[in-house]
Amino acid sequence: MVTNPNIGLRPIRPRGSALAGAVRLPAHAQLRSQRSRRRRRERLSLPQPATLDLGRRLRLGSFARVYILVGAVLAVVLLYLLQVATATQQSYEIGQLQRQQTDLLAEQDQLRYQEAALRSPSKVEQQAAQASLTRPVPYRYVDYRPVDLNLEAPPPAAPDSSPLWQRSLASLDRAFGGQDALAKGR
Amino acid sequence: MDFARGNVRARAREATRIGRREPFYKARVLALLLVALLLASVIWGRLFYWQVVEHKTLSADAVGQYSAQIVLPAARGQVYDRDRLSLAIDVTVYSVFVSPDQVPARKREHVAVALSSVLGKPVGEVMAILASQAKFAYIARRQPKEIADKLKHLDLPGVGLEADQQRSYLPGGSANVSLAANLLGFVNYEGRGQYGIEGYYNKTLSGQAGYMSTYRDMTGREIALGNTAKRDPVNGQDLVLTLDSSIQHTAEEVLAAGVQANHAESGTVLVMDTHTGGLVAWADYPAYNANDFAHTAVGSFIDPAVSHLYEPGSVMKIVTLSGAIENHAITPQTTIYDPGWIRVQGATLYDWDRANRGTVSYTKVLESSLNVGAVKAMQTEGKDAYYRNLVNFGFARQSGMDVAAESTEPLRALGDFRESELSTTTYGQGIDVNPVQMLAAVNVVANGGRYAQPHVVDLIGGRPAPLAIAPQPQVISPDTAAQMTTMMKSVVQHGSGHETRIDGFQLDEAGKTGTSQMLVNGQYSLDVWSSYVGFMPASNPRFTMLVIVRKPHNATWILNDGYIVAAPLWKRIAQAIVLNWHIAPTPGIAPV
Repeated sequence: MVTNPNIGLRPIRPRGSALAGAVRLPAHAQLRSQRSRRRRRERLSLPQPATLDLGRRLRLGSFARVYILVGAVLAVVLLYLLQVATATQQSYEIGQLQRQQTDLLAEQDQLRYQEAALRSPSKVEQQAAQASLTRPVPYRYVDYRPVDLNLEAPPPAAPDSSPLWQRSLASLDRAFGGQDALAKGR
Repeated sequence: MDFARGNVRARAREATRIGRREPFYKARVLALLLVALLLASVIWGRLFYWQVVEHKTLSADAVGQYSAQIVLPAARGQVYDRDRLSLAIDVTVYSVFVSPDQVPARKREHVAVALSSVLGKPVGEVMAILASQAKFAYIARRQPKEIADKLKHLDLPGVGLEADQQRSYLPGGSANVSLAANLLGFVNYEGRGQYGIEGYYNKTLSGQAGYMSTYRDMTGREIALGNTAKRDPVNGQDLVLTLDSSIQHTAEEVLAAGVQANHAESGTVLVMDTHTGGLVAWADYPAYNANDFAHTAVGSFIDPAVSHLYEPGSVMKIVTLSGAIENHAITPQTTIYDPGWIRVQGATLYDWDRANRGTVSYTKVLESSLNVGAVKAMQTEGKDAYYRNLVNFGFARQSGMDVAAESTEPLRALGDFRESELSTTTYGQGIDVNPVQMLAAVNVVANGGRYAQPHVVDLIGGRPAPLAIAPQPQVISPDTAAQMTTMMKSVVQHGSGHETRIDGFQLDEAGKTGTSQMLVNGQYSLDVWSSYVGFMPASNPRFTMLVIVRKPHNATWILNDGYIVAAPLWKRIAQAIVLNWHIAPTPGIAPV
């Protein structure tokens, strides 16, 4: 029976501790050994992926990891579908609004034409005829005759048209200083 | 040992055999390689063909499948009159179509009856289309919105509506005619302006269409939120015309009645704003309905006001005598002896009545429209000066009017005229002009001697049109213009213009009649152009108007004269303008 002579024979010891009774290596060999140890240490100090640690910490099996991955993909797909559905819905609404706008613009054009047609001389004449309106008799200009009237002059004082008894009373009041009577007469 | 020797021998034999077969194997391998290469070449060739040769086509096809370029049409500019009343407006119309294969057989009759009742088409005709199993067929084109709304409400299976734009014009002054049809022209189904203003200003009115590149889904629907490249359309510019709708309508109405009453073939009325040269009215009879251009004879689209030439007749005497006065050859008081005829280079030219009038002044020459007087004025003035005068009054070139298809006959060189021919041009025979040229020439007298550029568009997109602000060259002096105005006033007060006297303006009107015979097969016939041109108030003119009636056929020849046929039409339109523009008589005008 062939056995590996190294199995079970290698002593377990803390890394770096000197083994009692070990063969002492020459100085250059010791230096090489130290260098290789340093390299090993450097390699081990590299940052490790957190997921591995997380997976290890959560003690997830390989199936669970696959489920999570599938779930994540599904979530992304669902999100995409939701976005596409929203876009489609909005596109449909925009289409509806555009159609409404087109209809309203068509109606506006129609109204504009109707307004112009109603204002057109032809329509006005037609409406006038329906309302039994007729054209006035041919106009006639009155001959221009200059008049001897100074329109710039101040207007003449209006004659007093109050009754005689009022005028007499007023003159009496004026003569005897009746300010109130004068005020009443105005 | 023997075994070993025999083995060696066998090996040697085998080696010899293989040695002999080696070229054969090589040939097979080569053949196989060649076949493989050939097959690979075929594949490479096909790949090269599809990926390199057909690259452009395929990539264009691919782009065509997922992208769409939507044209964003530009709104055509509107056309307004001087009071901002819309004369031409774009309205949406609808073409009704059916997809017969989408209409179930059991519903055909229902659909046919419904379409027939809304569109007024025979049921049988609609049924025939529905039974045809075609994929697509139009039932009716360019229907108004009311019809479209009714059909939408009915929600018929397999029936659809296709929106389109159509230019609409206002109703005109006579039956089944649109307002100023010949002047405005129309817009055809491709959206291009044809004839008149629509044709001349097509580029300005139509603007520039935009586009939008967008993506579409598998069903061909536009993905509105996709990445789009967009260029907004540039809408057409609006035009404001110098036209007055109210006067235009009256002119059309009066002209239609006048042409019919005189059993004439056609007629034209042009009214010009004296000081600006803007056309206020532009009426032709017969005209057409621009809303129904598709069912109109092509000949009707031609505008006689700019595209037809005519011999103006005695109206031309205004130009002849103005030039002679300007060149100091004559004065209104200068007298001549008029026996009723004159011989020029062997040809005898007569006055219209061949009467011997003895000694007459040039004012009388114009009042009574004497041809001999016009010829003598030219002879006194000299041919060169007379010819120069024709050029200055605008007869040697187009008027430059801003409407499509103006036609003129180039004025012959002076040397190409025989003396008798040049003599007849003095009274408007043997010279072809278009009505706009003639009106613009007479307007020189009304406008104090300045030539106002005739035009019909005042503002383009809110800015003054170039023709509207064109400089006005001085053709004759204001003094000459004043003298000619007095002579033309005399025509109204004492001469052939008496039919145009308007109450209140009798002393303040200027005008001239014209009657010219038509040339048929090289001979002057009895058919005439009857015309009247005038302006008022003469002391401060507001408008200049030319009325032309072609081939009036009244009972006698004399009844076809300009003062009987055209002058009364001039008066009726002038009365409408006086009322419309509130023109009051100038006080203190003394009779001539």
